[in-house]
Amino acid sequence: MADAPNPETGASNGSVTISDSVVAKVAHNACHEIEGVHALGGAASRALSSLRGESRTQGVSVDIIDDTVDIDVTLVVSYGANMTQVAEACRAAIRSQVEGTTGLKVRAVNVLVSDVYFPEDNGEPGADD
Amino acid sequence: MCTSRKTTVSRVPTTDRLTSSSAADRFAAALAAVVLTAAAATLVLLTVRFAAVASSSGYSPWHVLGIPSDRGGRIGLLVIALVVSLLVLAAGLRHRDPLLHFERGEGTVLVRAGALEDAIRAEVLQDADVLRVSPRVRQHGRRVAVEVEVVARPMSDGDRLQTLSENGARMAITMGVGLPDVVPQVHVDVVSARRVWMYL
Repeated sequence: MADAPNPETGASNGSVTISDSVVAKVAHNACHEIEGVHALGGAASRALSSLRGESRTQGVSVDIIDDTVDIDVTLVVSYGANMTQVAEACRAAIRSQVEGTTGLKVRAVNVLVSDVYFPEDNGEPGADD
Repeated sequence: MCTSRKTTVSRVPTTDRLTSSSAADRFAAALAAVVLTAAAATLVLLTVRFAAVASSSGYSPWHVLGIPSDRGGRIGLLVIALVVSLLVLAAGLRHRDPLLHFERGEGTVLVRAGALEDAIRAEVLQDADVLRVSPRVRQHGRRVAVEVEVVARPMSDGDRLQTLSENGARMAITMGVGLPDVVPQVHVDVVSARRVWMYL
């Protein structure tokens, strides 16, 4: 009885490995939904993604050690948004989503605001539309 | 959570902003132009050489350019190219946009100085008398220092632009990173009619 496998943890049935890309996708999705976030990734990665198509892990770097995870995020914030507030919201959303979805403990979320986006850069209509 | 985009984006000027990019941007653009030109020239020379080989010709652009044919000479050239590449890389790294560190909540938020400089530029350029804005944002410990060089049209009211630029820069910093206590150092240069062509 004492040697019976624990169905809750499945410890005797094998292990579950969550890959970096899964965590990166969850983090990317969590951050992308925050108001004020225009895009994720630096200039180089965004230029590459324009050629090869949008990547769901762009701008997110993940380092999993045991059951904890460190996440680095690079953001482009829309002009008019408070960069530090957007970064804070991003950090909170990532922590909540990653911990809720994967069960990993998020140790650190490092946020870098690399650029500010002006709608006129792409000839988009102004705010009055 | 953050300022409404509906009210802020309409103030972004649609002209001049691209003509006054930061020094880091200009350096990166110049560096990219040099590297791309060198790459394009190499590609053309390779194409010429391939075409010569394909047509059984002994022509080689390397000889025309004076590139040594012996192994030692080529290794020397390669070493020179490597050293030049490293110097260019070092120069590029020196001109990278500095990062500003802000302690927020559970950690630090990093913001590229260029992002804040763009926001300041956009605020100040809203005035029609402003021709060029060169902001510089740096961090010394916990203190953020903002310097703004403004070039204005001839006959502009310098005092008015001084106040406007200070307010604009302060607003951009407050809006961007929530630091209302920053006092921007603004220098307004009202250019003469003779010099105005340089900024148009």
